[in-house]
Amino acid sequence: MSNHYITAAEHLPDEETTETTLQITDAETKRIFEARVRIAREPDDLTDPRPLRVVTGPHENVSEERYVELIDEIDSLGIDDDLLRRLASEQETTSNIVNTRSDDLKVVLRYLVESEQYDSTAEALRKIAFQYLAENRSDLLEAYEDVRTEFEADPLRRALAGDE
Amino acid sequence: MVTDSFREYLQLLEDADDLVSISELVSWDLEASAVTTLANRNDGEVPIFESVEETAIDAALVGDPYRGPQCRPWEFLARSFGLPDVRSGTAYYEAVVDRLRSPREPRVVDRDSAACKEAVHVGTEVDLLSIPWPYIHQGDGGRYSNLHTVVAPDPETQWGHWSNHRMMLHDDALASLLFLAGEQVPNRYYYEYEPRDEPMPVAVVIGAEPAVQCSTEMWIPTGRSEAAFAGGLKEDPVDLVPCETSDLFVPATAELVIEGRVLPNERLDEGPFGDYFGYMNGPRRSMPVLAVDAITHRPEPRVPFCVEGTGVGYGQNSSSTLQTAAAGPDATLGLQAAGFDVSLAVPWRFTSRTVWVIATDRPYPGYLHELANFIFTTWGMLHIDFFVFVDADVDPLNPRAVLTAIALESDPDADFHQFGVERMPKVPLNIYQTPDEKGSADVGTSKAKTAKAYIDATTDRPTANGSEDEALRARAQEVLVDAGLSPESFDLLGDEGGESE
Repeated sequence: MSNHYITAAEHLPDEETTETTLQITDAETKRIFEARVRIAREPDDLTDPRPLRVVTGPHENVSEERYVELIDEIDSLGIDDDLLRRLASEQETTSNIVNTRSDDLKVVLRYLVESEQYDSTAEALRKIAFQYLAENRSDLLEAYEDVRTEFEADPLRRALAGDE
Repeated sequence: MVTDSFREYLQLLEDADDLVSISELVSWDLEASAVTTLANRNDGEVPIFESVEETAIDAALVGDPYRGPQCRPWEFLARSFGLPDVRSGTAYYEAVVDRLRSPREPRVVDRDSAACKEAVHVGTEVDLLSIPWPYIHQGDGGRYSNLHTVVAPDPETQWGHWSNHRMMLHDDALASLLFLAGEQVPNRYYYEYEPRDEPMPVAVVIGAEPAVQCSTEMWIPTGRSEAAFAGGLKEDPVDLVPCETSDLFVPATAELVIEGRVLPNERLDEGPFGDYFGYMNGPRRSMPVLAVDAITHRPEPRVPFCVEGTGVGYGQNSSSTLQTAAAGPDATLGLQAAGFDVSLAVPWRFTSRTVWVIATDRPYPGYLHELANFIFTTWGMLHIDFFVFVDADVDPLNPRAVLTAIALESDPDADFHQFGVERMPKVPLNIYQTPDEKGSADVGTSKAKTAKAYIDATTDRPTANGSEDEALRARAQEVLVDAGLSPESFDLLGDEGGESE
């Protein structure tokens, strides 16, 4: 992996320094991949800036330099919507309890509750988990939001699913 | 001797000092293509880069292995088909057309005897980047494989359909394929597999034997198989072997085979790429995604590539040579089989696929229009812009003869014909249309439209009989004597000895 990346102007978000999912090319290996990134015109606006060549024009032979900060690499094909739909569908008829066993986690969560930062260990775990996912896997949450919207907007499908 | 593998073909070149082996470390990043470009321009030996990069698969790159000599582009392929005595282009065309008239069905061999199965990687062992794919032009969107055979399902033949669609490598398991709607395999994907939400199995065969690579460049009628025509070309069946992960068959002696699925409703960037016109062509377009399931190969596979853009002008490369040496004879046979009085159909050597020269009789008025229309509405619609029609006794492989025919026989008023305006499809790889004229770059289909044209450079005069010819020669001799030449060297002067009246 090199320290220099390439992308096309058409892939850039409208707002600068917005966190976004971007297809970028490693300038050295020419490997092409998607990543959660932040982009800026000045390196000082990012904590770990790398040069980003943004190509544009009919034949992409015009370019300008910007800076990119890689947050997290994403699988090239993004989120598996079918898997997400299946899990969402199964969730309609199963318990919504999430179980985990950890003495350490329980101590930490109880600390957060007894120091009155959260009302319950369940609430603490829920909020912390969603906060982490929003920061690190926002693509997954966005995809799930779409699936949920789709489910809620389709009562007929839900009714038919109940007959299966 | 007929070569049965790409490796035998390379040996044939080496034995004749037409191949140079480069053992020094050469980078896949522009350096291998730069060396190949120089060889293509200067008619040099075909370069094989033995030491490219230390990757999991110890492959060598071969730069434009099918490029023939500039004066006789067909020569190396003629040698590989056991036609070493064929010197003229016309003789080569006649020999190849003759062989294509007798297709031979392929032979299925056991996988244990298939050279392409000597190493097999499936599942988590698959790593596309374990091969040192070349980065060919500055400004390309990625590293490419662009000299290969894509094998795709064909319900009309069990051997599948063979064609060439360039492949841009993305990561260890994904690539994008240039699928332009209008071509057979892309149509099967866009109009059959994708609407069914079904992945289309394909195999990308790299370093196939010359007969396979040639038949990949041919336009084979629906229901017939490229595999059978490849067998006809070398007068021996092509050996095929089943894929590891699909029902497709691939040439058994290939250097490297990439098996995978073209996923429905998925797109990745493809391009820009320095294309055959000799210019960078962009912008990137969204193209179907190849998800790789298996890689099989020979030990130390030889991976051929083509420096596209170096086959225009006087230079030759693999694709320009394959057009001349494979697509041309195939088109000649196809037009003859369709009932046209064509003696040779040849891609104009300096323009790759854009202009073709067709030597033909013209048995009735309107015949040339009919012939052009036939080609533009069948195999020639996407790439060919115009034809030059010349008389059957003009050699279309001889540029001087063709230009002479255009200069002498084409009346600018009556012999330049155009088919409509902006009605006919055109690959978006051309550089004369703006991105808007080419249509949306977001879709996987070509929206480019343009007119098509042809130049009638056939003679309009009735064929001269012997006496008219002689009278013309006698008159020419009189003029020359009048101009001051000695009458002694002429044989048709009358008693007056050419003196002016």
